[in-house]
Amino acid sequence: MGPTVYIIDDLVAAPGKGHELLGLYREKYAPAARARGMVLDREIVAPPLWLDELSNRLLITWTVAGAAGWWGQGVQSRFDPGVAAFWDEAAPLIASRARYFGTAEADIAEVTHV
Amino acid sequence: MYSLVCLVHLSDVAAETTVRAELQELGAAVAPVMEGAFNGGDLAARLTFASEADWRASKDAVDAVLVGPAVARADTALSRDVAGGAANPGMAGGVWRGLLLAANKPQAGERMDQFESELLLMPRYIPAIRNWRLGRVIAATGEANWTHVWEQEYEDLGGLLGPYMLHPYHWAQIDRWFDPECPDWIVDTRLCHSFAQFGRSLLG
Repeated sequence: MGPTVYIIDDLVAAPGKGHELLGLYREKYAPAARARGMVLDREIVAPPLWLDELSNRLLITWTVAGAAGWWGQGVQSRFDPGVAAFWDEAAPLIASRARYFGTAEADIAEVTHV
Repeated sequence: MYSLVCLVHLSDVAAETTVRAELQELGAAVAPVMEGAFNGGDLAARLTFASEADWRASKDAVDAVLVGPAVARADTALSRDVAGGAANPGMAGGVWRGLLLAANKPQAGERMDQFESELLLMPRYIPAIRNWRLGRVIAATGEANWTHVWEQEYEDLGGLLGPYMLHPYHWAQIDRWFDPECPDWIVDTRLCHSFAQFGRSLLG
């Protein structure tokens, strides 16, 4: 299994589009992500109110079990046209985005001992 | 230095011995591709050349083998050294792995230096990679217009399937270049991932 791996989507919404972006993500991205074995950990909205003129930042964190879980979701997603279609549809709602993969600091020794 | 990697898909498996002999006759190291490869062919062949002119002198003869009746198709990449290294140059009996990739997405040009630099750091973080070489492709055939050949050698198959695949430097750092979900994505999802045992080091 291995340590818990976190997959973090860091989405900066286009001004005024934060709420719509989160709704689209929940509707069209999350179900297939769950089917790929990803478990939703949390959704953080910053600042914690919906802005009309400015950008909200959405930090959406998923977990998978170890490197095997990471490859399981990764291999499925890159050959699923629905994933690319979601990001294309969401693009007008996104000012910028990043995706990070990590573990708890306490798990670094275990995750690198392979 | 220049290297030509040929991943040969046979139409007639019974002709493996013949195709192998023909490529060896031209100076190639040739070995059967191991189970578990992805788009890796049936035979892996590798030739090295001191110059592009030397490759041109051999090109017609190699091409003639690769269009023969026993060959269904071949992915080939002639590449020039970017960099390489050898922690175990005399390794015998190890496993060679070749990745043919096409870094052809729109943002690839501006990110190429960083991509190549990060790839070349893999052996530092993943010591199971004993010998390695990154090449920029000059001439390619096959399923994509390959831009890079990333070769590694391992003491055994476990080094490739274990540490190489499972180390976080690979999946949490490098793979974002290969992952359409990541904004840094530059590499086409069509790849050739091939591995074989040549009985000696080709990269040392």
